[in-house]
Amino acid sequence: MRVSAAALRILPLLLMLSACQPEERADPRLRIIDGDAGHGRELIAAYGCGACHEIGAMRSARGRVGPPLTGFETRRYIAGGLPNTPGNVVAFLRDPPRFNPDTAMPDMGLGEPEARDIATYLYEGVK
Amino acid sequence: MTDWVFSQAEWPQTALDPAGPHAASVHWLHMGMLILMVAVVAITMLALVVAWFVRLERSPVWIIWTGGLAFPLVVLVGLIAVNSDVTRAVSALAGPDELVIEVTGKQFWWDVRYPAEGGQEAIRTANEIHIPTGRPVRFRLLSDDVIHSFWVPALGGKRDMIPGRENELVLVADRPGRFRGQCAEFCGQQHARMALEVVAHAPAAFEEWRDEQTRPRLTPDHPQLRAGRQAFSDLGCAACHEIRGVAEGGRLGPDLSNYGERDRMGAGIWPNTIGNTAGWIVDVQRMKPGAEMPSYTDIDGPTLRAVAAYLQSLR
Repeated sequence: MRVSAAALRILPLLLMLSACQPEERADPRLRIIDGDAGHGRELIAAYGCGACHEIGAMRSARGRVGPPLTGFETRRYIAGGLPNTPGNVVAFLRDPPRFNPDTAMPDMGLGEPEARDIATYLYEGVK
Repeated sequence: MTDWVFSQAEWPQTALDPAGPHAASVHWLHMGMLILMVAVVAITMLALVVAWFVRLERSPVWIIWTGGLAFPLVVLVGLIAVNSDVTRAVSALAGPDELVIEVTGKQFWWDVRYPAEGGQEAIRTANEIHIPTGRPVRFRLLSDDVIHSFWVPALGGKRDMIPGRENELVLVADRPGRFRGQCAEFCGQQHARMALEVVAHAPAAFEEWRDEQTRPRLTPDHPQLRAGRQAFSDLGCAACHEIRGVAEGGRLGPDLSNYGERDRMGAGIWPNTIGNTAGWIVDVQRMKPGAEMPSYTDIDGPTLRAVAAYLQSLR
């Protein structure tokens, strides 16, 4: 069977396209049901997380007061010793001093849905 | 009129949706001139196209007289007349019942004083200026350090603030709302982050706000807020910042008596939240390099949270 010249020329392009798949698939354990990453990003700006944290994808978030949040989905622990799971992250965001009395991070008064959206952005959106 | 294009709700710093007579006159002058200029350019282009296709034996001299001399003369004289009229109109906004507000430009924020008048105590605030609607406000504009310029586009034009002299600008807001302003004269490293908000209230609501400002700030009986108030004293914040009834006399920095009520912090830039407040205290020099306030780098976590919570409680 003969392959046409055009198909041969297109083949490398197709191969290149297939290489553009995401390198690592998101860890299914870090999925937050109905979490809205876009809304999470807006909340991060509205609450001013960037005053203390560096968040790679957000130009306005360049703070050095607390730890950087870039690559958050690859961290093993948050807040020093809390396993990085969606439940822990949401609970921590809602009341940081409860998990670490010495923390400098104030209780922002986040509601449950807000904390879920912010956690979703941290897991999915910060590249 | 122009709500459909650049409404003030969507663009808090627009000059195209005027909220007062000063801005309205300037806006209509601008729109009129814009339409006129577009017409002149269109006619010129048309004349060029005609000239390209139509070859005449002798060009008629009347075109040169009318198009080159009479038309510009009439238009320019007309513009001067309208312009003078607008200038006169915006400088005649003053009235007998005007409110005087003294605004001093600083690197990089706005010090705002309401002098005592008619049995009302003098009050001091910063970066968020409250005014009543329908009443002329005479802004007395000063500067401490370099030349700044006071500009709230939705309410009117600019006026420079020059060290050693006092300029005045009378503005009227004819509807309630929040109008963003910006320093309009390069004043140093953080010129771009020297914004302000003018909040216009119905007259009764404004009087209520003003009364509220004269109350001393009592600390609620809450351990964290009490600790925050103590830390405010211990850290020496009071050397620069005043809180009515708590720490008076610090004039180098913004008055914080109603800090928790303000919509934005850092001179109209960041949303005023406990997070931004805490981050600011610890690392103001990263948020706003060149501001006069130093970064307080040796506050432990719980103290920082207490101070930030205390400041948020000031309302």
